[in-house]
Amino acid sequence: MLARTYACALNGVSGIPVEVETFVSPQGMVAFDIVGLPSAAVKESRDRVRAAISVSGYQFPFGHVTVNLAPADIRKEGTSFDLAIAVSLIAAKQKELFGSLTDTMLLGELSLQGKLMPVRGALSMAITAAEHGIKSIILPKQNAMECECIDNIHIYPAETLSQVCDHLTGKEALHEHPHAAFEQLQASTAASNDLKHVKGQGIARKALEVAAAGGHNMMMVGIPGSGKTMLARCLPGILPPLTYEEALETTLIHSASGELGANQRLMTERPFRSPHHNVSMPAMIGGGNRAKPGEVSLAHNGVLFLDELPEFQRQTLEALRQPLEDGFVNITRVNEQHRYQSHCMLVAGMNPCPCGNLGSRLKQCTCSPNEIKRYLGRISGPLLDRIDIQVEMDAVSIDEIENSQEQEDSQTVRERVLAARKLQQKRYASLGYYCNAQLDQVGIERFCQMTPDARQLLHQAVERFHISMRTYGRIRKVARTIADLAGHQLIEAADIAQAIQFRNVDGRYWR
Amino acid sequence: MLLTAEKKCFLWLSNAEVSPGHLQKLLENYRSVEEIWEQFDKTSGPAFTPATHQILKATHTHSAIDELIEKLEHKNVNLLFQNDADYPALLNNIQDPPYLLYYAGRLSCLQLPSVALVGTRTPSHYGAEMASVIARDLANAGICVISGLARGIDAAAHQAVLEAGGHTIGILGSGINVPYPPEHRNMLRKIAGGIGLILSEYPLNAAPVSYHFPHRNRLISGLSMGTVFIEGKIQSGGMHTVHSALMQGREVFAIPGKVGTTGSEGPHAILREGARIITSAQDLLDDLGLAEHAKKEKKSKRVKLTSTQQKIVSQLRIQELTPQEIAETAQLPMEDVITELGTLEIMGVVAREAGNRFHLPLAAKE
Repeated sequence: MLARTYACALNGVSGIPVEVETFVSPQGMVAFDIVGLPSAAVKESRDRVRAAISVSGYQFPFGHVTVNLAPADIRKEGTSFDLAIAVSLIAAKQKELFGSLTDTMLLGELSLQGKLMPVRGALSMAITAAEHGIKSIILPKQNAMECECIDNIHIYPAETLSQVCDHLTGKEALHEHPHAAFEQLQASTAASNDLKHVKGQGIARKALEVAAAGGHNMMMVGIPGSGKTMLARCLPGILPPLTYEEALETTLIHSASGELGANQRLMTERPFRSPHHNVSMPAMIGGGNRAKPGEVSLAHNGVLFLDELPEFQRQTLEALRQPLEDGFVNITRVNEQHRYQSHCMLVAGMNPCPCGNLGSRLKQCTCSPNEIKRYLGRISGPLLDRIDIQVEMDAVSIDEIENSQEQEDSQTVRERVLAARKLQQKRYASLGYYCNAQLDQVGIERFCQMTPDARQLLHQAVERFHISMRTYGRIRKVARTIADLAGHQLIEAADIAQAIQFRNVDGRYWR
Repeated sequence: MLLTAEKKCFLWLSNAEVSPGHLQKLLENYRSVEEIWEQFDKTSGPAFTPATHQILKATHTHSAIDELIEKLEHKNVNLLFQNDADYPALLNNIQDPPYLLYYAGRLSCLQLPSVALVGTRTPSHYGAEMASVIARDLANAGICVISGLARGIDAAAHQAVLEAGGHTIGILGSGINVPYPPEHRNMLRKIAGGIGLILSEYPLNAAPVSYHFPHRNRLISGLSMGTVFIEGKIQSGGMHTVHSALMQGREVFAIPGKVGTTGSEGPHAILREGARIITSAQDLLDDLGLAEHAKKEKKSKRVKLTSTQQKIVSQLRIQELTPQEIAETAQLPMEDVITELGTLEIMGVVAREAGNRFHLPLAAKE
């Protein structure tokens, strides 16, 4: 008595198809074994499956039952094998009822009542199924929507084990979940935070636009309540919309780490992650005993917002440098290695001093110069070097908040950003860069050419502000983006003057 | 360094931080310091606190004193005794002049007309700027600027004098070997190694304990013809210096600030009590009768501004503003404001402070 079904294991964010084979031997001791490197959660499925089968009105096979999860040398994690194990057990007993089980992938956790519960990683499992030529997939109905954009596979959402069995035996077919086109989903996306609600902060708004246009990391320094978080939240809304590939990559990571939630579609808005400053290093970078993706990967193709930057543990911040630079994280374990993508924009927020009132019009700063120095010193130079735009927030007055007129909305800004990005793509086609922020020293020399006026102004600035060579390069990169936004072929003096305004913080707080 | 027996006794007492007041009292009972040395540790000898007594006892041999002298020579620190010819006459006029000063740098600074600049350790940009502008102009007029080497106003004043290439005297509240605050070590070296002077009443390795500083303040005012209070609260070290200046019969000046800011409380309080108001180094020179020292001010170079830039500058002439406020009051698009402010900042016409507020600096740096 042998039966075979298909399930899927997760390895990082990618899936590996798993054959679930069940053999029931009428001889020998009565037992139920699961082999093929099951983890604790998979082993526990014995008890869930036994209950679910009985409650759903089927008979649990009597005898020595062995379930093998092949390939047997890969560790199986999670609860998504429950359904495939249950169906194979029922099929082993009543094989004649079932048709072919090998063209369907079965995903789902079972409750004791026989209900299907959502699983994590459904999207990558569905993709794996489609890649391996499996025709249809049965999964918990809460997971159906995240998979609806996958081509070449039929998606059947189910609620209970008996529904699944009825479908497979041909008694009562499940309704197929309609396929959705990505463009359709995208059209219905509305940015959750719009720039038009941000009052004042003209210079920081401009900085945000430049950051979005050039893909520059950004830091906002300002007194508490000056609107740092609000501005940062608007960033996904002015970045170019996600492409299908990007949306897939991002949703995969969220799905695999269980962050997606029930009944979520493919993500069409760029993720915005704002971990609290007590976040541990594995939570930020990825890791833990199951090597889960960290915040930096969850922000892939989106924005990683670190408010109160100096409050973060120093080693956590230092560990961020490599993923920000390379766009991926490698997590290596003895038996496995995972690569999680981490291509995100870093936006940092911080107070100008420990008490937060330096530069405030209403309150006096009570910090000693040494305290301020120590506070700012928590952020290392190498990390600062990766932040091209540093902007200080204006001290906002109540009048300004109450009396200011309606501001420009995100859509208008996004169009300018898109135009600037297009120029960059054209310029860097076939060069391996795709935005100004990625330019290295050679790239800066080649692409950040200035008019004589601009050159003179920049030299003047270097002398006045004692600008280091590294900052000099950063100013040129940012000026290149400003020039792109203005449609200038060469960087002009006005672009340099604006770029200088976005350097201010490191001029006065850090050298 | 060859010292007379008397001077060695002074050094012995100074090394144990015996105060001038204490010494004066002792000299009522003993004819000379040498007698104190001889009578020390005898039953009818001079009384000291146990801690002081211990230090005095440890150094109560000629070899110990010679060792002290050697250490001073090694660190290039010199001694100035009260009965030396170089001892400044101004200081001799105060109530308890130190009988011994430790110094590094040029003693000739003490012969120059001098003014003290004092104020808070946490100045506003206005206070710090006033301190540097006045210190710079005084230095250019050949006046020696005296201050306490502390953070804030003191540092701004010393720094401005150094940049102008003038004479400055820094008076420490600790031993010359352990300057406080430690981050000013470099500034100290520049002063002592250049044409300035570092003074301290305390032995080479005396710690910067809190009671030294108020005591030190009497030297700052005592060495100067006048004391200028730039910024500070009513309860502050600057205020303390002002009081000792008044006790010593020296002129007291204050720079007006903005009503309502904590830093202006002190200067405004003393202005109400009759301190002279000054708004520039010139005012100070006129009041102290040093006008002949004043040099003809060089006409600063006029920079040509565009009409937009002029618009912004005229707004900033009234008060400091954020870019947003400039855009609103001057009716300019934000984009232009950012560009022009950047250009003006590079040209040195405007300056920025915390909170992204722009203002016109009092004097453009070259």
